Amino acid sequence: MSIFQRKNIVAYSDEQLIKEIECGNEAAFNLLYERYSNKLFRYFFRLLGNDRAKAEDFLQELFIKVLNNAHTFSSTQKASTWLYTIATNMCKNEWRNTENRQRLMRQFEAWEHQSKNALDKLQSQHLARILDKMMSQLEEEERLVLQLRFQQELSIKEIAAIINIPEGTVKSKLFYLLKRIAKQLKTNPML
Amino acid sequence: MPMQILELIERSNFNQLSDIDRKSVLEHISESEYEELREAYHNGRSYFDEDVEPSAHVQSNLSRAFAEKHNKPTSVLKYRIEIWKIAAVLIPLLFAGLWTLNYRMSAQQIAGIVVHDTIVVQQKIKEVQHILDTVIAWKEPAVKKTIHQPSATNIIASNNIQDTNLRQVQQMLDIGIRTLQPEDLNRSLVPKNGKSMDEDELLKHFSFAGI
Repeated sequence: MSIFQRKNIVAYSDEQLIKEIECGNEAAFNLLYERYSNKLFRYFFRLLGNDRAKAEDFLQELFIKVLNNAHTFSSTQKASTWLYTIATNMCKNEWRNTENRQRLMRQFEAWEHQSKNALDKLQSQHLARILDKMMSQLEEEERLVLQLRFQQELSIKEIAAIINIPEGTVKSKLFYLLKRIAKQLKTNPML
Repeated sequence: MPMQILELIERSNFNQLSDIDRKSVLEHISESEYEELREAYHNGRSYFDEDVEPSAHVQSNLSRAFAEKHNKPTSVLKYRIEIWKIAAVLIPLLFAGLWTLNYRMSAQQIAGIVVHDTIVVQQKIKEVQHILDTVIAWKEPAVKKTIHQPSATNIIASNNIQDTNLRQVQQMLDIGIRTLQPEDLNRSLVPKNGKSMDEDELLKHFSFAGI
């Protein structure tokens, strides 16, 4: 990739980059990766029980899907919505594996025991423990709504498009989840 | 109503709300509940703010996948070069090579002509000395020469003298020389345009034939 090519595409929108990927532009592919890899990795990391290796595998698989399915991307779509829809569907498939779900629970319990003596990070760990536990107990849609809003900071409209539910439902779910977090923090005050 | 409250919670503290917003919030939840929800919102955000990044090998794996998809040898040819750039370099080199090859071949051909064309002698002939039967010889002023006269009574001796003369002339002038052939003589002695040849023309013909 030459510097000139790179300079030219830096100003491209995400949607233009996907069209360029379809035409075999590697610079566009690299740039899209730079823009989304960290966000999507965090998304996978949290949704897959803080499993770093699995999150990396999922991230890689997602971009291979982008590579192979760039021609199916519609220019009327938002690129971020398209990417998060793919990521969300990948996570949903993973969750449907009940064995995996049990493994996630065991991982959480193991982490909970390990973190008991970390006094210097007590506060953040306390919060993380509560939220990790809460996340593991949430329904699929609730977990996705929470993460897409809090972590990825997507708009209500985008979240609705990704999960394929009405915008009003997204907002009411978020409100309900906030109340639930507040309740958890209140009933589990820091030591 | 939850939709409006959610937006307010995300945006500002209860104290920062306008009177209208405060009134609408208080219709559903108390001020303390509002602050609790706002705290939960910020805690939730910070929970997801963990700074984790994927390893570099993910991107290198994807670069390989991209190369395989588009059949590009990334490890060997990392930088793509347009065909016209390659052509711009190679075509002048090709022409230069062809020109050099052609020049050398021409030089060899010229050298070949020079080597084989031993009959061309660039030597000024001052005057014709004798015409000895079927042999011509010419005088070179700087060279002293001895020419034997053939005897009419002894044919064998005459032939020997002729051979000796040939060798001597050859040595003196250091040129190729051969026996004059009848056709040379005929061609040389036949007058052109009905005129007899003058000495210069005769010399020219004889020198050609003699050589």
